[in-house]
Amino acid sequence: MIGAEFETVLAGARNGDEVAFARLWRDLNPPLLRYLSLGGDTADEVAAETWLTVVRGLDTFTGDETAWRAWVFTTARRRAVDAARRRGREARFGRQHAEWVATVRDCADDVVDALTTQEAVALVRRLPPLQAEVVLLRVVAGLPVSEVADVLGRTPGAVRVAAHRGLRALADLVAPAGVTLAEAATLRE
Amino acid sequence: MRDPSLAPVIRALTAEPSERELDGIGPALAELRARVAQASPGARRRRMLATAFGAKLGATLGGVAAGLVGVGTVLLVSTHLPSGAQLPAGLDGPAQPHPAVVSATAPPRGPDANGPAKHGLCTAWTARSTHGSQGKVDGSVAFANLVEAAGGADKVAAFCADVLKPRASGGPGNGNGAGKANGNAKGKPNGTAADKGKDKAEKQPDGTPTDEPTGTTTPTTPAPTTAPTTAPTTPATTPTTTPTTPATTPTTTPATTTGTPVPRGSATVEPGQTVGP
Repeated sequence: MIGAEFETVLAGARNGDEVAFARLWRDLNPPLLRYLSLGGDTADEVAAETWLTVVRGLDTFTGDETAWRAWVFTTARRRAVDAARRRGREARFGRQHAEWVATVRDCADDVVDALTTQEAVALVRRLPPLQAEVVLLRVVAGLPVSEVADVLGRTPGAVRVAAHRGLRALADLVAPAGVTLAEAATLRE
Repeated sequence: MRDPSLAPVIRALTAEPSERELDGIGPALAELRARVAQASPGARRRRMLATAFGAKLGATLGGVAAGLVGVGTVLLVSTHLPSGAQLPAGLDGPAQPHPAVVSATAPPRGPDANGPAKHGLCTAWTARSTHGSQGKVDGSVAFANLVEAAGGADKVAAFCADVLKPRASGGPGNGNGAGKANGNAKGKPNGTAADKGKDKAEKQPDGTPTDEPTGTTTPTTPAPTTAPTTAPTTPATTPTTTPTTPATTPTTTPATTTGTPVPRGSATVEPGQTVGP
């Protein structure tokens, strides 16, 4: 988050100040890449497309930093859906419908103590698509429930439910035996 | 999120950015530059403080600088200044306390509408007028200058008449091309791709996605003066007064699509792809 200076920085970027723009970029590109990793290995490509679209639309954006983040992630999601559609066309798969979020089931054994960011995202990818998206938009993008609902085109209630279930499922993933790490620690004592 | 077993996952998901995640700003900066050149060629040079083409070095040093001074400072790797020697003050090292803040808070002067920026300003103004969004100009110093030079918002059209006519007879214009014709950005896109040296850059050598009908070139637009700065691909949820251009991108469909993504397996956990922070 940029915080109190956000408005100034955004105004600078809008006027073509490249340092100001770089600040916006550096603030959001990492979470953007993590979120877009849900779509597979096209994250870099889709993030680059997202930023081009964002730059072109800079003049049309109005709002505070939360709205800005929601806007960027909304744009990213559209680009990701496009990319998934392209990919599907290229592969000529027979399936008619799919989310852009490609979930994985074959994650290696989870060593949660020293998780890398990529491994954590891979864990999230094992959740159902909506839950995975909600978790990343809440945790990684830091968006409030209402903004996540806007990005996904869902109701806030649905987002809350998905977040709750997603986090619970994630907790089960890192403690497959149904025993949380805390409980395991307690048991060892 | 209260489940303590989630803590390591949450921590990993929100870890500090890795170097790889801070690499690749080049195409976006090039787009920003092209867009600014379009709107006001005269203002572009004054405002152009830093040029970071995705070189890892730039990102790394930029990261160091940002870490030290708390602002997004970017190493200048100028491909525009002939000698590369005219580094703007404050960008030659992390010692300067607040270079970005200085540039961001300095009262914007904007381009001189009576100078060489006139053409660009008029073009942008006309484009905005075409799309019925003159109301958005309040925040723009550049447009304020234009209105002042013209002697009033209602006189801008007349003020601009002389510079816009030649453009109109030149056929459907490519805004980027016009900007480069000034010699400001000659050969820049190729330079970007070459400097980048990554397949990312090669896929978008000029910073423009090939499948996206954006306003960068608008051959089918009735008014040849329509500038790309008028937000061709406006996300639907944006509170905007700018309608999309006629060449609307067909990609604004909501979440569910008819496409079929290929299950990629566990691409993100392949050892070869792991880039530690």
